[in-house]
Amino acid sequence: MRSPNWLNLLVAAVALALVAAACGSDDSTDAASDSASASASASESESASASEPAETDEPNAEAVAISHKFGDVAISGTPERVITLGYSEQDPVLALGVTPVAVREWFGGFDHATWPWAQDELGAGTPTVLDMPFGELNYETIAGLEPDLIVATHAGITQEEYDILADIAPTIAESADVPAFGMAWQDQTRMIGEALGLADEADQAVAVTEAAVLDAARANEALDGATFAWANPTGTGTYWVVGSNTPPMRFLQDLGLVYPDEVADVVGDADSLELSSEQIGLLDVDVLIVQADAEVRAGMEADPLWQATSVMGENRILWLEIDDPIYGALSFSTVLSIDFMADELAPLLDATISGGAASDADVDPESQAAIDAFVAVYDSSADWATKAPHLEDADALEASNEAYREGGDGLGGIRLEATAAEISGDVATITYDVIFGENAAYNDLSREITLIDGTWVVSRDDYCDFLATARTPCQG
Amino acid sequence: MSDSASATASAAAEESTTTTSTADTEPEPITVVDETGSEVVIESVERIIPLDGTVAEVVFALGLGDNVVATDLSATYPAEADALPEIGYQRSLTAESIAAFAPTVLLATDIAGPPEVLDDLRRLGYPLVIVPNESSPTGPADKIRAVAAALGVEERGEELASELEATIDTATAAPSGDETAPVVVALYVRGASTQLVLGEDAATHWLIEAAGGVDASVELGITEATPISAEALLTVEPDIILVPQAGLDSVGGIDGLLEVGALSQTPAGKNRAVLTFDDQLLLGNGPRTGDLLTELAEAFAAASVEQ
Repeated sequence: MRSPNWLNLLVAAVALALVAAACGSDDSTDAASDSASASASASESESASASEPAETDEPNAEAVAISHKFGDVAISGTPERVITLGYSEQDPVLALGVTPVAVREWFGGFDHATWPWAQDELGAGTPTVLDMPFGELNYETIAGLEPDLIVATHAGITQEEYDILADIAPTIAESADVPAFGMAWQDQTRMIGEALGLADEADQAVAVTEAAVLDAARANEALDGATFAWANPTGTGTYWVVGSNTPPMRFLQDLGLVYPDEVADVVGDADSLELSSEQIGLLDVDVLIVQADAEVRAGMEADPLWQATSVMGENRILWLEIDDPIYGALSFSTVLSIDFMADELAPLLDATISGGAASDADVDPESQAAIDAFVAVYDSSADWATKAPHLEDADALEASNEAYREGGDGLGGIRLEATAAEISGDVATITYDVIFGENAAYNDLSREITLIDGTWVVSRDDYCDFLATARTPCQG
Repeated sequence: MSDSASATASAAAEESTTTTSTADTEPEPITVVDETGSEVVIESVERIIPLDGTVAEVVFALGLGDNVVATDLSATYPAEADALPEIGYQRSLTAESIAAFAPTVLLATDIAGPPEVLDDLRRLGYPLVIVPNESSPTGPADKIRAVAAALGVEERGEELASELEATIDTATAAPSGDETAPVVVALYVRGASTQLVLGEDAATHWLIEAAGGVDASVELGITEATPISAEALLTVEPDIILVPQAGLDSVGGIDGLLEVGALSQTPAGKNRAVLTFDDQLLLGNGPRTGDLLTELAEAFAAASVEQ
């Protein structure tokens, strides 16, 4: 059996949580079987009327054949009681509009083992949570849920485990050409789509998330060509570093980031590898992702070995706590969590690489104050409370601002990105690009902002003039 | 599932080739060479996204409006196109907002961008057809023919295009060469801070000349849209100001417009001779351009009679 290093890396970090879960396992199993039988009877009563016409409509519905690591499986009809044994497979199943009857808990402890990015897809669904440690599947519980499809493409199951599961219900594992936990999210989503009779829906879900990744790569230019690594400190001076051919690292490379050759040479094909403190130099990359709690982070920041690195000196470490949804999303790296990260993680990485400290130093404080006020006033989605102090005659303009906000929402938000500020007396001339959503629609325009009683203020005329160009002219 | 679906599709295709000649409904792939010289294969016209307002108008005029699943912000006509879900603005596209509608074909002009996003869309496998967008008497008909070819409705396209060509021919005034032809300045206005004279690149240039006017931008030597200088405007003495409706609205109508630069000092300003048309109609080089030209020609003729 291949050692699931990739999973251990994370499981080690949540060892305490797992112990706690194990202690309470009796309770959770009871709860599990209760809700399982409840949902079983619910779907029986529903299917009593639904299944009959389905059978007469398609008496010869062709079985779908799916090849995977442990052979071929034939799935006939549309599975209705799906169990996901993979540690993140609730996501692709939910993405296709199917609510599993039971899902596997990895970490996080969210209700129904469903993280924030999948809440919309979960809706009112209430899948049972299977809290089963790696290698300890409870077949009785699984069989008791009466599944008609077991999804295990990210579960790291063995041939032996597969054989038992296949006796309970048709089971799909990862494809034969990938290691455990190594299936590309696109292939995984499509395989699950085939099994559920939702191949077109799977293609569409993959296309939307791939598009989101391409958009994120365009919108966050600093990612292009920047080197990166992901390291989790053990707390005892060593660091687990994640291998390049894992789902999260493939996603980050899709954003334009570069996995350094020096790290690849050391980690090789492994999912992850423990580095010693002498190897910290390997982690001195353009942006380093580190999962650490406050205490471990403080330890690293006090460590002279780390203090000597530019990545720490220049503040280019993205610190994530284990319960941060971004950390969960990275660990999952599914069709849903990647879509979430394209919006949430990519800009964070971009900002971390660009380095708050470095770019702030380039602009003098007065120009920065003028820019900050300017950007806030013209941002269609900025809080009114932030804008109002910097807008002349603000009270009379609140309704106009609301119309601008609504108009801007149709474009994914309108904002101005300041590229330069030139102050002459009480007037600052700001050079800016107009950004619709994520892209620049117009470049190198300029407008003024005036210093009145120590506050930078956009005049009513200027503001209304801009709103007119945005096709939401001032009211009244 | 997908196997059986494609088997059905190809069976249907075989049947229709042997029985009828209604090219409109054949599910066979359509191959076109687009304006950029790329060969584009369109498997299905079931879910169309026009990335440009005038192109959307053409699709609706071709009778395929029911297949349009989303439009960009510039689509204002017909009302059905305006009412569809929006993908954003054609100059600042994102791939995800388009992919979300599962389009089977994308139609755009050279305005669409950024170019990297167009590349992304092609990489994602969406057939993207760039249609010609020339501002000239033949531009509107060329655009219609290209859209029709990409959607497999050449016959309907040819009808629409020849009708349009005939209207344009009829409305086009013979160059009078005399001094009574009105001088027309076309302005692009967005609020008090953006006032540009539209130059020879814009649709307004050929329209003004074809309608029997003199385009002020020629004497001003303006090809691309350029900011107005009051002195320059006064020297060309425009008789008529031509302005897109949204621009006029953005400065609060004719009164607001005449406060801009030296406009009130010009003959056009003194006579309040301001002609305005919906942006998409005036600048779009589309199916309604023939009717627009007819109206302009009548207005210019009336102006030269008055002189």
